[in-house]
Amino acid sequence: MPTVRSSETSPPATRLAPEAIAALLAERLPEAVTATTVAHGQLTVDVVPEHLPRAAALCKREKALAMDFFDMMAGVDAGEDGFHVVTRLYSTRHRHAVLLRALAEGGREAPRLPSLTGVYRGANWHEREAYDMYGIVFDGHPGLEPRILTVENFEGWPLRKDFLLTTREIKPWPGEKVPKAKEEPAKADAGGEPADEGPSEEEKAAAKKAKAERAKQKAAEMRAKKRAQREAEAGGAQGSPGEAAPEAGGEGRGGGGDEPGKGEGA
Amino acid sequence: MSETLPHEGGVILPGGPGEAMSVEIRDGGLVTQEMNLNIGPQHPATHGVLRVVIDLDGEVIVRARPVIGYMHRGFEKLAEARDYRQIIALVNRHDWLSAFCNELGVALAVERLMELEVPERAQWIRVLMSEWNRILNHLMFIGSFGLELGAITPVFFSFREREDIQSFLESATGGRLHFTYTRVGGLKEDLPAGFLDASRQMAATMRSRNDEYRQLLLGNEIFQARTKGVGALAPDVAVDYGVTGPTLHATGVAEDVRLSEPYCVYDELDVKVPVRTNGDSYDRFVVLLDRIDASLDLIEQVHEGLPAGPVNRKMPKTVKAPEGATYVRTENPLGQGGYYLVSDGGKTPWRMRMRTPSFSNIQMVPELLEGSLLSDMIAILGSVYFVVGDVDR
Repeated sequence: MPTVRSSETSPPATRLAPEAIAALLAERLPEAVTATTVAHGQLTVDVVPEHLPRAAALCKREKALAMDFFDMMAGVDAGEDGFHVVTRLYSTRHRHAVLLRALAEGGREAPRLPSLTGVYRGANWHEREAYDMYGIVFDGHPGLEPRILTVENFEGWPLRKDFLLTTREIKPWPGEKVPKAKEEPAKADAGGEPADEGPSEEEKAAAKKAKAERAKQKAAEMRAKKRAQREAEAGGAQGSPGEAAPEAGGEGRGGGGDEPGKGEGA
Repeated sequence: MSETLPHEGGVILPGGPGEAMSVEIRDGGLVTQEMNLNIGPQHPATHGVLRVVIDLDGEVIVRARPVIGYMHRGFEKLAEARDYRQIIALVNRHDWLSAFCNELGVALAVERLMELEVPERAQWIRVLMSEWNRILNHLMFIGSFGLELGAITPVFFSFREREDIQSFLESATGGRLHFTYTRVGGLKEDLPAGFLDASRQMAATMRSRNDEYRQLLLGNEIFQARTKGVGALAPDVAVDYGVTGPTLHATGVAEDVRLSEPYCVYDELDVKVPVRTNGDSYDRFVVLLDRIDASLDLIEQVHEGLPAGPVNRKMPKTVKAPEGATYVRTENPLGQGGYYLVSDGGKTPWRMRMRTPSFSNIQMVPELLEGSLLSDMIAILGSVYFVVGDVDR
């Protein structure tokens, strides 16, 4: 049974450092690459949106890069600028990777990007998901509709920051502290909280009152019942047995022997 | 007969009740029509609610289209409204069979952004838990795959083992399915007394039981007939789609995060990645069995090398990841899991993209289904191991 062991394999010598990949891409596609950043050992290359497929194709076909593995694609809300789409490509042979980041054209109104489905088959569903979540249209994609994860008649783009999490709108945060430091959703929460707090206090008071009232009512009922029972027992001979009998039936059974006695007393 | 009925074309016209069916004959043969068949969303072989719409030409699948989203619960949106401590409990849930590996990925991402050093012992225990989680997951699929092919016994065997493993994992984590044992900066708490003995004992038992599964299923003639050569996947197609895990290893590509980008202490251990070359249902299943042995090897290495020391770092009450973005990948039982974490410096992530193995694996399924027989569909779907919660998130 063939097994690959880590003790027998070592990182391939052809593995390129992030800086080397950045230099190679910048050299081969100067018009496409606008910036490169290396953070935490990972390379992010900012790409001009229209050249994204070319950059991806270069990563895939260039021998030194050979990024054959389509890892993932993530839409990221970039605030007023619109939306970023981050694509991660990886080489199974050289074991190096790149994150290609492109800002969708058209801002927040009509974000568009060229599709990568012509380069990687795996891009298909990832692009459909980015469309479903952010409303980014991928030109050249074989079919973004029907929406991949949400229901067909779903309205809005759920992962945009201006799409509020409805549960958080309807129901206040269950903990004592609301996690803040976020823009729109957090602000909405922070704004909503004191407003929610007020009525909830009032509601609490109202609920207490109602409860007390109910208890009073119940006590009164019980008293009335007892009185009626006593009257029925006392006035057994006068007899309104029709009324008392069904109610006190169970308990009164034992007292059944009493009745004649009481009658005697009366 | 066909010579006596020269027709120019058309389709089969089914007659009304009690009438004969009129049949069109063309070019000396029957004119046929494709049939559309809807499988799922509620189907026992889909491990959740996956729907596959297929077009059939006779018994051959012409087109297959998986329809997903029936279990979409918006975890990525939820994660943006939860702090990192809560997210660890959240990511336990989308792939309920790989809970520990998922939560580990999030913790690693936050730790990388914070540039935290995790205590040595915690890292070893993380490996131990990941490997037990992997075995738990694979046992589930070993049982269910047999069940789907009509063998009821394996599922009883595998669930017997699952029960034993779960009960001692429960002693450390408090959970049977959703462990929530990882914390940013370490673990919830140290292993309880007696845990390592139970783990050692279970590893020995599991090793002998794994041979039982082999004998039970691999030698079975029906099992071989239904899986050998069925749903063969080519390595280049697999890689193009981003297929990972046992499904990829069965095609001969040994891409495994524990090898290529070791996290925790995998670089100090001897990781074995079993590989097969045919890429068919049978190979996928054999890889699954071999992976259990490979995981047991790792577990035994952890038993020997586990250092003493703390399992936790002193952390501030609120964890804030500094501004930045990072992508962390882990080798989950079903394939490569990934978290792309973008932080704006707050308590909650600005964006957390979950790259789940099942999503990419299911995307590739039409490649296997198209051209194969309808009766092979279950053997194919059952051997591309996936969890629908992991597909839909």
